[in-house]
Amino acid sequence: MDFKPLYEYIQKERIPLLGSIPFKKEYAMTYSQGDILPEKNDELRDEFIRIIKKYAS
Amino acid sequence: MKRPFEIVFLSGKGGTGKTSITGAFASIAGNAVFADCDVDAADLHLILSPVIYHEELFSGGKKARIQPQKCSQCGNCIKLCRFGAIEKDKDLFIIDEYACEGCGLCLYACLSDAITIESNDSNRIYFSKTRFGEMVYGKIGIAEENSGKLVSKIRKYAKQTAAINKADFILVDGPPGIGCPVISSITGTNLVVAITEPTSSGWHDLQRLILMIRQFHTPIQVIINKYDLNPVMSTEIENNLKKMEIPVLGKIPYDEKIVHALIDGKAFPECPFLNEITNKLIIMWNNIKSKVYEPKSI
Repeated sequence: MDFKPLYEYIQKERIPLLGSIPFKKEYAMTYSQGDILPEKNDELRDEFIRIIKKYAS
Repeated sequence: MKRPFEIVFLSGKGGTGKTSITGAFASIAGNAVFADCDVDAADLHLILSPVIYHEELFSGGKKARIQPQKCSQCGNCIKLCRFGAIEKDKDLFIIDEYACEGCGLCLYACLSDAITIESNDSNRIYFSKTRFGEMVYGKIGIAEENSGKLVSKIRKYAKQTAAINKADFILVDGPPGIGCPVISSITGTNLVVAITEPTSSGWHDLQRLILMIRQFHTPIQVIINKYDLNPVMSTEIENNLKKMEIPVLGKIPYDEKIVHALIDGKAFPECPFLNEITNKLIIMWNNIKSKVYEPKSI
C-alpha cells in the first residue's frame, strides 16, 4: 500500500520503520480463524524474523 | 415537535468498519446530522471532510500547576505525589501534564501556596458542515480523562443542531469497547447498529457489547462486515444472534477496493467501484427507515 503521508511523517519524526506487512485478503482470513499469521505464511514469518532481529541487534 | 431518530454505530472490537459504514450511511441518509463520539480517536471527519464554523472549549479533567515565583522548593509535592507527576528540573519544580491526575494532594501539601488546580483546555468540540449535512465532533487532548462527558456534550449539541435543521436522523459514530464513552453514546438513543466481523475477537467483543446494551433496553441490529472472510463463522454468528432474537440488518463482503475509498477519504457510495456494497447499504438504510422505534424514556 502506497500511502505517502505516512512514510513522510515517520521520516520527518525520525521514527524507524521496523518492518512492513502487506494488505492481503489471505491474512485477514487467517486472522479470522484465530490462527497466528507467521505460522501460516512463510513470507510473513520471514518478515517477523527480520523485525525481531532488528530489535535484537 | 418530532424528535429525530438517533442511531449509534458500535462494535465492541475496533477495526470492524464502524466509521466507514457510518460514513457510508451518512452519504445516503438525506436529512441527517452526524456526531463523531469516538472522541479518543475521532476519524469520521476524514471521510466527511467537514468545514468548521464554530469551535468550543471543553474543560475535562483538572491538572496541578506550580507557580515558580512562589515555590520554596521544599519538595513536599514530589515526595507525596503518587503518580510521579512532579519533577525537579534544576531549580524548577515542574508538573508532567500527562502523568498528573489532578487529585490535588500537592495543593494541600504545598507549604508556600504555590500550587493551583486548573481545568485543562486541550479538549475541543467542533460544529461543522459536510457535503452530506452538519456534523458535531470532538477531540480529546492526549491523556485526558472524561471522554464520556465529552461524548454526552457532543450528542447534546448534535440534537440541538438536528432541531435547528429539522433533521430526521442523527447518526452517531461510537467509540470501540464497552466503557464509559460507549455507555455515554448509547443512553437514550433509538437504535444501536452493531458492526461485527467473523473473527473470534469480533464475535467475543460483540457479545460483551450486547450484554451491555441490554441494560439500556435499546433495540439492536447487527451488520456482519467482511462476512465472506470466514463464512462458517458468519453463519455461526447469525445463528447465535437468531437465538438471542437480534436481527441481522445485513452482510457486507470483504472487498480489497474499499481501502482505496479510505485512502481517498470518500464514502463508499461515492465510489463507483463499490456499487455492489452501496446497493446493499441502501437496502439496509431503507430497512432502518421503515421501522419505527419509540424513543426510550429513561
